[in-house]
Amino acid sequence: MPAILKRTAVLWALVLAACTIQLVPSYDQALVEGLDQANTQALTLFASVESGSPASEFGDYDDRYATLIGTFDALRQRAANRQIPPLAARLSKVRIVRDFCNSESDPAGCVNVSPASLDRVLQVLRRMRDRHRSNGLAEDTVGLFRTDYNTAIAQALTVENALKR
Amino acid sequence: MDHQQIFSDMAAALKGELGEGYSTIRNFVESQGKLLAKQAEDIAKSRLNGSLKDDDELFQFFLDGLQTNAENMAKSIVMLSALTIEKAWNAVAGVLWGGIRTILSGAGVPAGLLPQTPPLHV
Repeated sequence: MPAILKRTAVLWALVLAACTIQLVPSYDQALVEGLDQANTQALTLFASVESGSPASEFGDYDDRYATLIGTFDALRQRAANRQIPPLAARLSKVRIVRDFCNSESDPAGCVNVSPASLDRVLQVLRRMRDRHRSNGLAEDTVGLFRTDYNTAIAQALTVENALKR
Repeated sequence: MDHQQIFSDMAAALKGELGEGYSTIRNFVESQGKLLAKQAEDIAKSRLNGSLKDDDELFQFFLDGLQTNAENMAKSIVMLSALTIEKAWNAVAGVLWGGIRTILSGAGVPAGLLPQTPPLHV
């Protein structure tokens, strides 16, 4: 091997060895614990109305909806406002990533997904509350809200727990 | 420590991180696939014979939810993949730096000039 190639290889090895990278945000224990607690409260609410609930009973649940929506909104804010690693922010601007992840409208779309998942959680809880208040909840409607919720919260929980390196 | 040992340790570190990352992503895809399939099935059933039969507004809400959840699942897979790449890179860099550190220490470079972990973080 020519000497220049050897020196180049050694130089690259040194650069590689000297650099660690961060492509996604750091683990946030308070966020994970908050999600666990709020999830338990939400599942308890779903269980309370799983056989259906008329609009006349909405007053019994009003405070629980407000608490849950407020809690999840605070967690969504916390996730949305955390620091995105500089390298991840730069990668989000690469064309293929930008196109797939819709990075122009949501710059952190693929490197900080939980705010989007929690946004869907909030949409479900708000629509369920409004429907409960105006029409009451049929049994199958509760099931539909719950499955929608389960899919979205599972995304946030999986991603946030995975961030624990 | 020779270069063969360093390469062997790097390969082991890479294999470990990639294997763990693949397992996490595979489990996530399987569980999300089941949830999305149940979501679609429940919407279809309710539209045929349930409370969504005459409720176009709520039907549309749940269809939008199906699409949003599917898109967020795809983005979550990208994020979990990025995490796997990050961990694999750092594991390899850690092993390589450890090897170089050992060689340089053996060559008489003072330990104070050689930090335990790779000195650059980007």
